[in-house]
Amino acid sequence: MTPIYQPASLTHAVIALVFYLIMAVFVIYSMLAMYALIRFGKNKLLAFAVSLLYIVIAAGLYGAAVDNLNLLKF
Amino acid sequence: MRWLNVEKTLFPGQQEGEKIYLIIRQHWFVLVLKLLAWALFVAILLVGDGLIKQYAPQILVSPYIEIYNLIKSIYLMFLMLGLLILWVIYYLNIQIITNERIVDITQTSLIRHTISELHLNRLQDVTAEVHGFFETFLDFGNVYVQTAGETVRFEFTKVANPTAIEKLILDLYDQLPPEDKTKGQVGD
Repeated sequence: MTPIYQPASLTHAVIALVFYLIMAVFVIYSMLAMYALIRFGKNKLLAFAVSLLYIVIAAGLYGAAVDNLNLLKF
Repeated sequence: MRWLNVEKTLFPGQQEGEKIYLIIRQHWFVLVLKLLAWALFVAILLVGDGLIKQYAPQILVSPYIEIYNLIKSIYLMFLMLGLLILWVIYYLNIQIITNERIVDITQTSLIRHTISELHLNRLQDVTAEVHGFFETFLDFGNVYVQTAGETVRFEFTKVANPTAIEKLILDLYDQLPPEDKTKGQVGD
């Protein structure tokens, strides 16, 4: 499991804040896209399958991004 | 939780016994063009990597490499999001032709969803238009449906086989009972 980011300095804290704000935007848009797909899509099975695949890929990329954030050194 | 149910009807307001003749999406070439635009953003990432390796290798050592990797991860996440949005908008834009009406379901953005419908008895004029190099060779184009008594017209943009769609609409109009045809005429 990805460790929770622990800011070591003010610079780290600011970068973490910006990072998580960007992630919030990403999550909101992702949820909107998946909601639209599941709500209005004709084939619900396809909509769920695509959403699931997207969640798996996005979670992997998010994990990598958090790891990269934790590796930042100043 | 209504949206979790697999609905038997394809669009809201679909009548019982209403026969669906055609479900149209934009031509696949339109999606390919959008995917090519998306691929340009992927290329930026790959070309940027190559350029940095060649011209600014100092970025690839600590502490810059961590910042670079973080930016790359975020960029990749948004690339994936862009791909999802692109496909969702393409997938959700459909036009349905039934034996009673034409339904246009338009998803212009993630939060903008419009459904317009036109009863075949209000039909006045249907035009198919194919122009352009790819349109001619791949057989796709626009279909314009003009309604009686209204200035608004339906537009099916960049759909496959527009002449066949135009013919189908006119054939369905011809199959309407004569009393239905006159209902929608101007001045009645």
